[in-house]
Amino acid sequence: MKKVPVLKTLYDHLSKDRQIVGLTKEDNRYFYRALDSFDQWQSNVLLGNFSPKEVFFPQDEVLFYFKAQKTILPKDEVKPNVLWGVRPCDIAGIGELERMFNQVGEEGYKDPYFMQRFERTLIVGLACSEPWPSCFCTSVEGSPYKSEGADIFIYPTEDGYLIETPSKKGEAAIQGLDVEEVGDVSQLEADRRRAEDKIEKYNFEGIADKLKLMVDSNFWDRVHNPCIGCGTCAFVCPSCHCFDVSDASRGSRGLRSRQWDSCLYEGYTLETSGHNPRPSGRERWRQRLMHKFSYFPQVFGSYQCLGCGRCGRACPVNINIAELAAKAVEWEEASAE
Amino acid sequence: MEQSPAVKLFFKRSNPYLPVPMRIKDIRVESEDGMLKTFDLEFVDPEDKESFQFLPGQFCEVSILGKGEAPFGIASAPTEQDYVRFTVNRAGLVTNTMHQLEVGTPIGMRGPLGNWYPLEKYKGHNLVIVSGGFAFTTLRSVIRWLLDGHRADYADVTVIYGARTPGMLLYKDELAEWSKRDDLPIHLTVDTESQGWGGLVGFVPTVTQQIAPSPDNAFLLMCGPPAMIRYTLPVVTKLGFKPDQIYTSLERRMKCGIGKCGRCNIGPYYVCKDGPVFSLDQLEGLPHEY
Repeated sequence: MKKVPVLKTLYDHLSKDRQIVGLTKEDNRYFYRALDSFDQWQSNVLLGNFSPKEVFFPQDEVLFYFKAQKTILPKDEVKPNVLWGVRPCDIAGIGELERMFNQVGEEGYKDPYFMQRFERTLIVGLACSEPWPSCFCTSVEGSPYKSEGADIFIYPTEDGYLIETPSKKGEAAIQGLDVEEVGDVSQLEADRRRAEDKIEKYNFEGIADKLKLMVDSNFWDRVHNPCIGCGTCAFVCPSCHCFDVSDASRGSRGLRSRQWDSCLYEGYTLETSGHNPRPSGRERWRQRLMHKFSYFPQVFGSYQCLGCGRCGRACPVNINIAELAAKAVEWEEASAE
Repeated sequence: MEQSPAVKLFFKRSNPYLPVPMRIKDIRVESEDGMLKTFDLEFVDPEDKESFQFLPGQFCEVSILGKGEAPFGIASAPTEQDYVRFTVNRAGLVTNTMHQLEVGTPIGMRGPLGNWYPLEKYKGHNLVIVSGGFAFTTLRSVIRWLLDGHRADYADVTVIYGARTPGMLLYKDELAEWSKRDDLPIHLTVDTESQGWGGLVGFVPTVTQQIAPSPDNAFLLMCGPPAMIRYTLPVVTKLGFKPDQIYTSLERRMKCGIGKCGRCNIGPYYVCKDGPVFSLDQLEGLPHEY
C-alpha cells in the first residue's frame, strides 16, 4: 500500500486534469458538488444530506429536447471528474445503481445517461474511522473500511493516509504521485474492528426469505401509520432509483425529462381509471421494505439498503428503516413458532 | 425468466428513451361509444421498420411530444408488416390527445417492450383464449398470428370473448370472418340481450363454465378487466386448469417501460420488462398489486 502524509497531495495530483466533486457546505447542509479548492472540502463531515447519487443521476434531468417532431439529445457536457472522499456505504449505493442502470442483453437495458456519467468518474473512497450513531452498514454486508467499488481508497492513520487502488483506473490515476511504499498495514485490521464496533448491529438474518412469507402479514397493518408519505427517505437514499417522466412544451418546442420519484407517493402507481394497485400506506410500505430487503436481493443478490442511515436522520416523523426491518424479522420468527 | 426464449426481442436503440418517428396510417372508431379507436402506425424510416421485430403479447410506449407517453399492447401480428396496431381507450392526457389526431399525423413509438406469450412452448397443445372488453388486443395479435401460417402447429384453439354490448366488441369484421372458420371455434358473448344479436348472452365467467374447455394438454390465455379475471379464475380452476397452464397479461402504470423507473413491479418482477405476460404460478405468493 502507498502512503501520503497529507491528503492535499493526492487531491492536487487528481485535480490536475479532472474536476473534483466532494462534500460542500450550503446553508448548513452538505452536498456533493464541484470543489474549487481542497479547503472547501468538508473533511470532518461523514455524509452529505443527499447521497452522491445525484452526481450520476441528477434529481431532474433532460432526456431530450424536441422541436416539432425532431428529437435532440442534450449536449454532452459531462467532464471527467473525481468523486472525492465518499464513504463505503455510498460507494456500494453507486454500485447498485450501476448494476440496475447497466443491464445488458436478456437482463435488461442500459441507461445511457447514468452510464455516461459513471464511466467518466473516478471514485475516491474514504474509510470511516468515526461512524455516526445512525450508521448500520455492518448489518447490510458493509463495513466502514470496505474499499470495494472504489477506484482509490483512503485509510486515515495516526501519521498520514494509506492509499489503496482497488481498480486499474485508480492505479493509473495515481501514477506519478509522490508516495511512500508501506509494507506492513496490519494496523488497518485493528482500526477496522474498532470502527465496526462503534456501529449498531441489527439482526436481518434471512430477511429476504422471511419477507417473502409476509406478503399478507398483519405486520404491515400498523407500521405505516406514522408515515406522512413525504418521500424524503427516497430522495436522500443512495440507492433509490425511481423516477417520473414528464414533458414540458411551448408551441412546437419542448423537452422530456425525468425527476426522482418515491414509492411512498399515492400517485406513483395510480392509474388513469382511478385504480391504484397500492392504495394505502400499508401496500406502499410493504413495497418499500420488500424492495430493499427482498426483491432487490432476489434479483441482484444484495440488499438495496447500504446502512447509511440518511432516511432515518431525514425522516420528519422519525421512522428508522433498520428498526423496521429488524422488527419484520422478529415478527416472522414469532409467527413461525 | 422461465418462458423467455433464447433471443430477447428488445428495443434496439442505443438510447431506449428516444421514440422512433411514426406516422398515423389509419384510424378506425372501434366501439359504439366512440371511446375506443384503433390506430395503425407506420414507420417513417425504413431502417426502423426493418429492425422492428416482435411477438404477440409485447407492447409499445406511444409518445406524443409535449404530452407524454402511454403503454399499449400491440394488437397487430408480426405477420402484418405494414403497420403497428394499437386500440386506444380515451381516458387520460395522452389518449385524449391521440383520439383527436388525424391520419397522416406524426407520432412517436418506443418498442417492442416486455415479453410475449410463449407460443413456442404452446406448440402441439390446445389453446383456450378467454377475454373481455378491450383487453382483447394482444390476444387478437395471437389469433392473427396463428391464422397467418401457424395454425397447424397447434391442436384445438377455442376463443371466448365478451363485451358489454355487441357494439363494444373489438374488431367486429374480423370476428365475423373468424366465426366462419371450422378450425377456430369462437364464442362471442354480451352482458345482456340486445336486438339483432345472435350470439351468446352472459358474462365471460358464466359462458366459460358452460363451454367448459378441457385443461388436458391445454394452455389458457386470459385477458380482461379485473372483475372478469376475478370471477373467471375460480371457474377455470374448477375445470382443472393449473396455475402453470394459465397465462395472463398485466397492466400497470408505467413510465420508462424498461425496468428503471420502478413503479410497475409485482414482487421481484417488473411488469414492463419481465412481463406483461405472466403465468399464474409466477404470481403465486406475490403481493396482489395489479
